[in-house]
Amino acid sequence: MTFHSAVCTILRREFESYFLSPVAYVFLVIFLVLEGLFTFYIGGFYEREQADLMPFFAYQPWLYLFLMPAIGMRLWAEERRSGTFELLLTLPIPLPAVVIGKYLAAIAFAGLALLLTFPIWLTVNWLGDPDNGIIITGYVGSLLMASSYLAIASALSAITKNQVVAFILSVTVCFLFLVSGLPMVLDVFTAWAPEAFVLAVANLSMLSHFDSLQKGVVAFSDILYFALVISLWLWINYVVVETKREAG
Amino acid sequence: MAKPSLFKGLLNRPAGQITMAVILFLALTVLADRFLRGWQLDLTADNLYTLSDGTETLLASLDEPVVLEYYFSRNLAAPYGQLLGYGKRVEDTLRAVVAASDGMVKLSVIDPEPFSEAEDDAVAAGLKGVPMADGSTLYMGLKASNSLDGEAVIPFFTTEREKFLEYDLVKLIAGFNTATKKNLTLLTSLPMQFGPGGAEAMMSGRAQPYVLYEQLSEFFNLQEIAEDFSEIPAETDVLMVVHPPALNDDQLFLIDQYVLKGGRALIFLDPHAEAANPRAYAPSASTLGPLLGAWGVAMPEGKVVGDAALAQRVQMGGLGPDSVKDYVFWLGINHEFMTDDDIVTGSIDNLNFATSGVLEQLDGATTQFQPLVTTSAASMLFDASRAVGMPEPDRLLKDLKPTGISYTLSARVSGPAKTAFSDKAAADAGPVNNPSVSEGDINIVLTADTDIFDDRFWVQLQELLGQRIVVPIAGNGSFILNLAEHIVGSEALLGLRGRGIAKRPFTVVDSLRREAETKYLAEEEALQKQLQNTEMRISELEAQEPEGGAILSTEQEAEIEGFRGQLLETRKALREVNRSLRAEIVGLGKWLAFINIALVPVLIILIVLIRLWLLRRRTAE
Repeated sequence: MTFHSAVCTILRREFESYFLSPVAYVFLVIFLVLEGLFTFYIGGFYEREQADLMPFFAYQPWLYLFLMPAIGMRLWAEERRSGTFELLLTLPIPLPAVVIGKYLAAIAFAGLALLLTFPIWLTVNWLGDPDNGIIITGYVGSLLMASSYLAIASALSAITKNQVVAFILSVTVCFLFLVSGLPMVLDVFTAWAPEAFVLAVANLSMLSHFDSLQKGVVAFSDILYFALVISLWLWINYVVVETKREAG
Repeated sequence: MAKPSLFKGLLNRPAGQITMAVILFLALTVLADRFLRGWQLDLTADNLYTLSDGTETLLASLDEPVVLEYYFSRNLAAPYGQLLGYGKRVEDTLRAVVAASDGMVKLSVIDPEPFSEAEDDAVAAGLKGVPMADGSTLYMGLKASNSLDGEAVIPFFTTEREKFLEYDLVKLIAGFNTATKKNLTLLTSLPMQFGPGGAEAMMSGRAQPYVLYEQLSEFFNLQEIAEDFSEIPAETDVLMVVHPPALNDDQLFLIDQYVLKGGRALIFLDPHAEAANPRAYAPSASTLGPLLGAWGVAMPEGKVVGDAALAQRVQMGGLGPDSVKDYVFWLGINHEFMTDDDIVTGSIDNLNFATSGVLEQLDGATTQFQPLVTTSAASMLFDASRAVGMPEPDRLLKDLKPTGISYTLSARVSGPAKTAFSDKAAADAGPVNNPSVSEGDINIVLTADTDIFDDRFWVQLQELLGQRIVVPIAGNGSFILNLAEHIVGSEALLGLRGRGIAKRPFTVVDSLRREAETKYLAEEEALQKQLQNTEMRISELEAQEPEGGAILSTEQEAEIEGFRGQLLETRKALREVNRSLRAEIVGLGKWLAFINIALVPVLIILIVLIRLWLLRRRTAE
């Protein structure tokens, strides 16, 4: 079995497994209802009378903070709890393919959830004449942010059998990535760390990278940032699973 | 050889591998942020984040080197994501400017740390800083200079002008090319130089020139001529006449001759200039006597245009949704009603006109008449007197019977024309080197509104750190500057000015609102009248109260009681009408919210139920 087909097999198996229990449907319903409520009632989408999706994207970083760890928490923790972890690792499939396949399944599920928000795009195009270029980059940014959260959640799901613990750990780390540019986090470092380090931490903030994508600009540095976050956490994921396998 | 094995050992351990990955990650993100920020794909409709062709042409044509010093307190800005992001964006744009200038623009980026020499330099250059909580000051400004001692600054880059960043930078650099500035001669009776208070305001230090006057001064050598002028300066490149005072024949003849001899002119007339005196009880009109006729154009006297489709919504006294009305004399003109293929209007998204007149081409005119801005077909002409005093928006809207004509508000007029003063031209031969002519090819632009110059119709003004921040809400400024630059033949900034002023309203909601208002207006008016009548009748009856405080007759009391009941009924009905006015719009909002919040989730639940049902049936079988 080639690496590519191994990834596809795992992806399909994982993606289908989402829909075996009602949890996936419950998740989709909660996600869409919350997204709609935030857009219309907190963001004042209709009252603003502006043909853009600013209120739709504005609350996504905070919404994803809880919803993405909820998708990611079961990726490995569930396998370890139910005892299928060992079985999975004995299959003649390279470990990186399993890590990537599982992760891509989670992204596919999150992407499906995002895709199901299409009525808002139809709505804004019916109501006025929006700049669809900005909307496209907004969606790209949104998917990249969701993917980054999922990579974190996937890695942290591998270190514990308990899904709740995985969820709490993921929310905490995602939160740090979200707010790393805010004064409350940087103040911790400014007193003792060199300025270059403080700037590096400030640069970690997902909010600022998502912000420029929301404005209609796809900057290579922003895309690279998300790619690096995803690569780092998938690497951690791999190292952790490999260690557990070796430990037996 | 202990070290390599230690390193190898570290890499073999999971913790070591993760630590190395984190360090690599941090390093790469910092490097990407430093060196790769310029690589980007701009998907905005206006290409807001990409240097325009006009900018590149202008930068490539610079003949004097320009030095830019960008002062940005990067470390102090670090905790403020939006500010840090904008500061970086300014830096990126500056680098792009340098790259496009073929070595003529040099840039240095300086972080003026607190109490450093760099901070002193920033202050000396005239930059403004934001005081921070810890006593330090955050700078984000630009100093530009050239070898001819020219110096200019942007004291602080405010995020409010983010959309105009490129324009501001290019304007600053272009400003050094003073040798190429053209001469603009201005004749106006509007208080453009000193603002609404006129010269008195200047004496008391309150003078605030029109934003457009400032902008014209930046791009042209602006010379204003007095109302009693007796000559048009010979070096004039473009003559701008804005709401002129009443001119005598000699003065009109000067303009006539200037235009016939090929002089470029921008003429702005108005059947009622609101900016001249907002509290006027008679229209403040301007005209150029027989000149328009000689140019083959007419502007119907004493007529202003009302347009139901382009009417702006204005607050007419009071608060709440009922006080916001469509005012058919104030037009918010979108790009659809501007000539798309004219370079002047090509990049402009919207214009605001107020109590504008209209222009018509005369039968048998020898000149060409090319409309630049028009109304919609849902418009008609009103007497200008209806625009003064306290106009009633509802009544105007009701009286508006669309003529189906798209009236022209601004037009280019060019081609052969004859003098309006043939006797004068024949008799007064003029000086030998500049003899009078009786015909010639003209090239002018006529506009039937002068309120487009007034700040309140097109800009929002804010104060920040002592800077006047101008945020355009309509393209009026771009339109006028574009006209002036295009007519004298320099066009570098034309495409740049209009970028980013596009408003994207909910057109569906706007048309719903208009339909509802037309539908309920008559009903509301009838009820208002009934309310007034009832109130009058009650006060009449109460006035009949006999002297000495004797009691009213039972019939009278009953009548008053009856009228009071009627009054309450009418008020209730009126409230109902007002509610109906908004009901459709509010209803649409609720529907859209429902569709976006519940539709897909409901479908998902249905799919789950159907699947469960199918599963159960299959199990039963």
